[in-house]
Order: sequence, then C-alpha cells, then structure tokens
Amino acid sequence: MFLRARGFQLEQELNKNHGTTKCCCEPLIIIPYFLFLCYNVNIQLKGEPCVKLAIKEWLDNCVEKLSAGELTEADLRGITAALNPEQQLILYLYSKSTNLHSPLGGWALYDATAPNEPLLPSQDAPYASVLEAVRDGWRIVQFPRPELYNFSDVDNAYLSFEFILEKIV
Amino acid sequence: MFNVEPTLNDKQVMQFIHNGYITLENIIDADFNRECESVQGGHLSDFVLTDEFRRNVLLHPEVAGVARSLLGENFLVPTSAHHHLFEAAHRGQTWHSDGLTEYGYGITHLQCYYYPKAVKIEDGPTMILPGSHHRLVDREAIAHYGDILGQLSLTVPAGTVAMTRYGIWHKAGPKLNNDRRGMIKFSYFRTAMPKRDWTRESDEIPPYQHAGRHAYVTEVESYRDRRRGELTWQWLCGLTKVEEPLPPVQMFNSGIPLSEIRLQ
Repeated sequence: MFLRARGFQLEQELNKNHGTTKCCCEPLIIIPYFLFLCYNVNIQLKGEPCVKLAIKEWLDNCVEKLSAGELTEADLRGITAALNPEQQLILYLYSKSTNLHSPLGGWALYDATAPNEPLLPSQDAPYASVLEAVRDGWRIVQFPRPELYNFSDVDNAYLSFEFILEKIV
Repeated sequence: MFNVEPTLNDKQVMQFIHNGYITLENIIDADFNRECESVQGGHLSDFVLTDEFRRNVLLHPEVAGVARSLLGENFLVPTSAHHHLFEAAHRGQTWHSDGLTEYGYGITHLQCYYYPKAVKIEDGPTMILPGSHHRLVDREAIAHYGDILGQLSLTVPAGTVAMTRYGIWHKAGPKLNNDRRGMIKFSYFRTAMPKRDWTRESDEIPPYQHAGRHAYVTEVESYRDRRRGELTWQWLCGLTKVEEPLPPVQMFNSGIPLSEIRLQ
C-alpha cells in the first residue's frame, strides 16, 4: 500500500511540474529532480530489495538513454512500474484426491511480498478444497498427474495430490 | 549385565508401529535437566559416556524400557549424541527425515529427542508428522511442504524424552523468541532378530489392530499403512523371516551393547 501510494505521489508530482514536457529537451533540469526523488524513495524503501533493484535498473536505463539523447517522458514514467512490480504468490494444496472438491491434507503458501519472519504452524487449512481456492481468485498452474507418479500398491511416499496455484498481486 | 525391563505391552507396541513415536513426559530428574541446559551445542561424546548421563537418561527405566520393548535384549546404548541448540528467532526448518530412509518393515533404530527445558510453542518446538515413517521419500523433495493436517508440535515439559522410529518426518518449528531451546538427540539400535518379548498378558499373539487413519492420509494410503503395520507387527513377533541388517548402519550415531555397560 505504501509503495502504491508513493508511486502515485511521484506521478502526481511529475504531472504537476513537467506535464507533457519532452524530457529530452530539458534534461539538465529534469534529471537532477528525478535523482532527488529516487534518492528520497530509496531511503524510504530500505528492506525492499526487489523495488530498489527495479529502481536502479530504471535509473541506469534512463541515464543510458539520456547520454544517447533518447530519453523521453515515457521512460521517466517507467518509475511507476518499478514502484508497483507485480508479484506472484504460490500456493501448494494437497488434496485427498484428484477431484477439486476433495478436502485438503496439507498446504504451503510462498509469499514473496511478506516479511521474512517466523509464523506459527497452523492446523486450519486456508480453504476447504482446491475449488474453493479457485473461487477466491487463485489460478491452478499445475495439476497432479497420477500417471507420472511412481505408483506402488504397497508403499506410500510423497503427499498426494499436489496442486500448485498462483495469484498475482 | 545391566538389567532393563520392557515397559510396553502389545497395544502400545502397535501404537508405536502406527504413529512412529512415543513421548515420555517429565521423566528426567529436575536437577539433571538443569545441568543439561547449559551443555554446549553440537556433537556430544564425553558427556554422553558419563555414568550420570547414562543413569539419568540413557538407562532411565522408562526410556530404556521402551528401547528394550522395541529393540529386544542387548540393544546398543548410545555413545554419542548431538545437542541441537537454537537461540535466535528463525522461520523453522523444512520437513525432512534424517540420513537415509532405513526403509524396512523392521524396527531396528530408535531416534530419541531429550528436552532438558520445557518447550513452548513460541520456542520453536520440534515438529513431527505421525505415520510419516511409512513413507519412502527423498528428503530434499519434501522441503516445500508447509502445514500438514495432524502434524504435532512437541510442546513438552522439562525432562521429556520423545522416542521415534528413524525415518519419521520432523523439523524444528518456527521460533518467535530468542530464548535458548535445546534438544539432545541420540539413537538406540537393535542387535538381534526380534521376538515378542515385551510385556504381555498371554503367549497368544493378538492380531494387529490398525489404529485408523492419520488426518493427512488418503483412503488408499490408509490401507497401505494398515498392511505395512501388519507386516511390521509380524516381523516384531518373529512370525516372518524378513532379514534386516543387524545392527543397522550407524551413520551419525554410535552405541555399545547393553551387556558391556558398567556403571560405577
């Protein structure tokens, strides 16, 4: 939320101060201003390595284009995308059968946007079934393929049946 | 020879076959627990060889009684251990089994966790998955698993010993604080083919009683667990002649026969 708000603020300042100005016409004025904004953002984004990296890439690209005399307003507006990168959340669900209505036996959420902090274990499944997760906006990116399992009628092995889902945030 | 009496009966042996663990809560002497709290982390050998550790832990009648019940006479008593010591908060380990799977029908190796200090949920308790010792997996290929229905956090009072079938899935759980949390891990091994020589009410061997389905297990997996439990029961009772290497390979731990133990 903070990042989105900050990106919006930057965009507003860009509109207010430079409107539709072709940036390549006034680089000596605009670039220091953007460097200042980026520095300001960078300070407030400590602990957000992905965003910092995206800003650095954006800045390197702008400087390169500036040197070549090709910098445009669109290039500068690219900061908005750098501040609001899409992130993929991954959810593993272990269904009691290949039927999407089946109850779950296990689950694991991998959330790159969440802080890297310990979380207590839980016995409350996030959803009652894979289908309920789909109903909540998750997209299945991998279905279990029983014919690919090393089936044995005698012994158990890995948890079954593993569905992998994603959500873009 | 140091005498150890078996403590488990038929029903308890069957429960161990099904669950893969047994916990003995608050059995170790409180003074000795306090002494163990300050032991350094990492590999332990000299400390494990002391009469004090043997008397208080390794040959404690309840601990050794379970080993005697499940591993038979003259089992190997641990001569090494590892103190798993955590202090800083962390996200927890990933699910794994130790070493190689030791995947067989027999019970030849008991891996034990001794907690000198009480463990609360925020201390990052050991977590185990009951029944998972029946599963043949590559330990690195289960590292992405998260919460599993029926998983158990070993939040235990001081002086507790958990005894597990080697191969059970386990991990250190997420730790929220910076308090010291220790667990001394050691192993007992079988040296002889089994017979039904634990505590019993009659000489008639009862049929294996399947204790039901673990929460995370599918229906057909439960049938397989039942079949595997029956085979292990028959093996323990000496009804089948499936050979297991005895004593099993001791990859990380060592032991000496109970008959060679001399306490001062």
